[in-house]
Amino acid sequence: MRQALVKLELLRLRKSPVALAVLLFTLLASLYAVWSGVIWREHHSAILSQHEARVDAAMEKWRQTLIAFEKDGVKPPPFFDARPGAIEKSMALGAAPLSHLAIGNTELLPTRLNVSPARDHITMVELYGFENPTVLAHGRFDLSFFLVFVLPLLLIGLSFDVIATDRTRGTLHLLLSYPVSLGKIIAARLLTRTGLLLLLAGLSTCIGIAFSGSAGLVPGALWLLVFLAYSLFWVSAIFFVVSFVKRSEVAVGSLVSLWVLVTLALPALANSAAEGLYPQPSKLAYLSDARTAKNEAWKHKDALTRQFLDDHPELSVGQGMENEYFRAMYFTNKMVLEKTAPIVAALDDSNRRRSELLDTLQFVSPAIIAQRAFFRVAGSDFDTTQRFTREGIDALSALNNELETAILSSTRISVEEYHKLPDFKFEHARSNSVLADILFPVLFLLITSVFLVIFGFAGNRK
Amino acid sequence: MSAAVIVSKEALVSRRNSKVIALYLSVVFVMLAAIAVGVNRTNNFEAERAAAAQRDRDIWNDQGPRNAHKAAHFARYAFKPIPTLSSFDPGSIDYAGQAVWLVAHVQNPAEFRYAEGQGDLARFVTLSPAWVMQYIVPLVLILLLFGAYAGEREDGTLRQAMTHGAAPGVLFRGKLASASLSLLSLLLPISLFVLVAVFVFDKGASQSDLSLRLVGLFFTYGVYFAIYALLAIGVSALCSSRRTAAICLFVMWCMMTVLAPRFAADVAVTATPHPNGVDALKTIQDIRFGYMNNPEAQEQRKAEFLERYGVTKVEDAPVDFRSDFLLATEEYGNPLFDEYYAKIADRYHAQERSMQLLSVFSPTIPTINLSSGLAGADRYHHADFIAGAEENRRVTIRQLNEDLLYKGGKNAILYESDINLWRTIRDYPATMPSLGEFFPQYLKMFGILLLWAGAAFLFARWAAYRACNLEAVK
Repeated sequence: MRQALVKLELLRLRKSPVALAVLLFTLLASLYAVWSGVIWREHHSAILSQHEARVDAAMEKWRQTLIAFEKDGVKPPPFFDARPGAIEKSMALGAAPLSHLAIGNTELLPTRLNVSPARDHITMVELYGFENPTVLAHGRFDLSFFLVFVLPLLLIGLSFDVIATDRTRGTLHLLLSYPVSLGKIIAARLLTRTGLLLLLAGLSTCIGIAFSGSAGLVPGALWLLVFLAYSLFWVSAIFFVVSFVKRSEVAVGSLVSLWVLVTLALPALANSAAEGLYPQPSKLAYLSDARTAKNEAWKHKDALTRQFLDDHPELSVGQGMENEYFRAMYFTNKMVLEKTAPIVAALDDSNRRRSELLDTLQFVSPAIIAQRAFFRVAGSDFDTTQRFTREGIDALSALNNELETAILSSTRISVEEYHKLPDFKFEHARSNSVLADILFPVLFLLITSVFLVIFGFAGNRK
Repeated sequence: MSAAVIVSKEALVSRRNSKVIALYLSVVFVMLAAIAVGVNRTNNFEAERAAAAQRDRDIWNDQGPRNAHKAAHFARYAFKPIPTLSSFDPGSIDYAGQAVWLVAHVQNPAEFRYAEGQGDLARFVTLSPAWVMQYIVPLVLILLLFGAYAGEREDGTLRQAMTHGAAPGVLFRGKLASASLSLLSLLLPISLFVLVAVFVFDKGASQSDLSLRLVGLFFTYGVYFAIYALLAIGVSALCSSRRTAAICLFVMWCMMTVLAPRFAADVAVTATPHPNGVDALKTIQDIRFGYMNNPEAQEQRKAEFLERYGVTKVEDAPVDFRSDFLLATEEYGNPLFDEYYAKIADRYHAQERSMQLLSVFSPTIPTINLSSGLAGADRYHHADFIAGAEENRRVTIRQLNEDLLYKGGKNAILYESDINLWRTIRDYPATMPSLGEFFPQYLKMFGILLLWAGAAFLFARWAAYRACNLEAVK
């Protein structure tokens, strides 16, 4: 009987132009989302490569000057050339294997750093923010948007009248005269309709994952897990609603209202709650603190230098003592780091608290769970971008520690010492750590779905 | 039978329907929450800006004696004023930088975007009154009107009304009038709340033409809602049952309000990608060092310098040639920066043109743009801030370099200016531009919206007459 129901449903779908249009739209829109993401990733990766190439070229020139100086020995290069204070290392938030499926915060936050003792933690962020704010405010039509926002609507559009039509036409009693329960009829029809749609969306997702090659296999599996859990939630929600609501216009109204609540209203309220409960310390105040520190350091650089050399007289014997450009800059940056430490800590604390709040608030809306999980798997979540910035600051401190003696004593380092300096590469989170982060929310989605199905069957029995 | 009878019948049905009252109350509640959130954000942001601007002045005055060009490298910041009406529609405020560093030699883009701190929810909507108006109110209209004709037809009351002498035109006018009344009964309290919020609680940067902007917003949303009401009536008239009408209208709503704006933005940025940050940085550096790398321009400037001071060697001039060199680097770079940023603006225009083209599929796209523009929170207002900041930068840097040139003597590199000079450097004025400056842009968007309204009216009228005629020949 169940097979007959499925076959009948497939036949009805084949003959319904609206259903075919919905299925075609699903395929085209999801493929467009993948394609748009791939185009973005290529553009983004090209920019990061350009950045690395620029820094590498500058450092190679720096290195060649130093090699020539070491070889000649006699004729020193101009003061500014091959100075340790001018060493710069690039650091980039590279595209994770599935970044093209969820652009997330990557388009919004800095992804290129220039780690150098000549910079502080603000100026090491390479100039960004050239995007058109109007376009940026609308966001991207990537696969995560398609799956979180559009797919539920398509599921609703295809299956809200899964049983109501029979009710209005009066054919329901005829159907129920067969040895099958109402719940099973709804379930069979719903699974046939949504199954086809999810198959098409899944196909696009797999195509999207395939763009990442073998590197995308494990994250791809995690992505599919989130996709299935979120889809299952919506299928169960539809099952629940159509089991209780008899008229199709009421069913579609209820489901669209649920969609508005889950994907628009609750995330907006959660956002406002997070902003209200844990307001971010003003970034403009942070900027002012940094400038005050810079001002103070410049005003007192002579005193700072004297104080330092009192403690380290061995460092007062370098070459080029007449020019204290790099030393003064180093002191300034160090002071900026020290003076802004409280506000940086407050910013970190605010971000952490918000993140923790969201860990709880996400359970009010499956859309938040799904979006956060997609971002996490794609490496475009807020925590990843924050970790990137933090690691950038750590890299700056590490490089400063390596070069401090040479900068303060105004001496050059050797080519050998230069080669020993660390490179700074940002690594995306490992899949097991991502799985640990998303597992509980995804389980919550699955459990909610099971409850919705159970209650739906109970509604049918009534 | 007159249209007034139909209006009073519809009003009676609405009053008796507890679901309609619950819907109204829900919208009013969400609107109140949105207004509270909007006013709070605007007041906080503007307070942050004012505090930062004051601190910038204090830091600048407190820098102590310093070479004026050194001060030009420390420089000042311009902070973007947050307009009062951004509490109604934040537009692209969160996605545009709030501060511009007015440093020597370089025209920087604005930095510090509020959205950067919003975390993973940045990509969901931000609760604002404009969002409620753009997304939720059209949905409410659909819920109120999907049965306008389809329901009457299904219940057999359409034919009944016609047998009582209600002509198709009378019925259509009656339905339109009752839709307008329903809308007004929702919009009047909402408008009142918005006005109270804007005039009493809002502490954003004042907009001299606030009333004009509010009138513009009222008309924009009036036309926008009229479009949805007409579409709902038209679709309802075309459909034989409430069910079909509801489904068609929900699909339309999803396509036009949720998908189309996002899709349009994505198409715009895929067709015309954002400016490449690395290229931009390289161009800025090239311009910065352009004069230093251009011996011909330097020679020409040197000849002019010698002629100006009537000497044959720069050393014989009463001023330091190096100070003139610094002035020259700015004068050389400024038009190049204008040219480069104009190219970036062209790119933005191309993106916005793509979005405008896709307005054919959705009246929500021009409404979003128009609303944020009227609120003073769109890219045009942001561009005005950038232009004002840049003008301030050029005046400031010129003033500092001229101080060095005229007061620094022959060895200006050792000359130090003090607080007397710092005090004369003007603050960025932080005033809001008037609406008139962008009027042609907004007129175009309003034109698109009116076209939509005209088309929706014709469609609704045609569908309503058709429904009555079909009913008459049954």
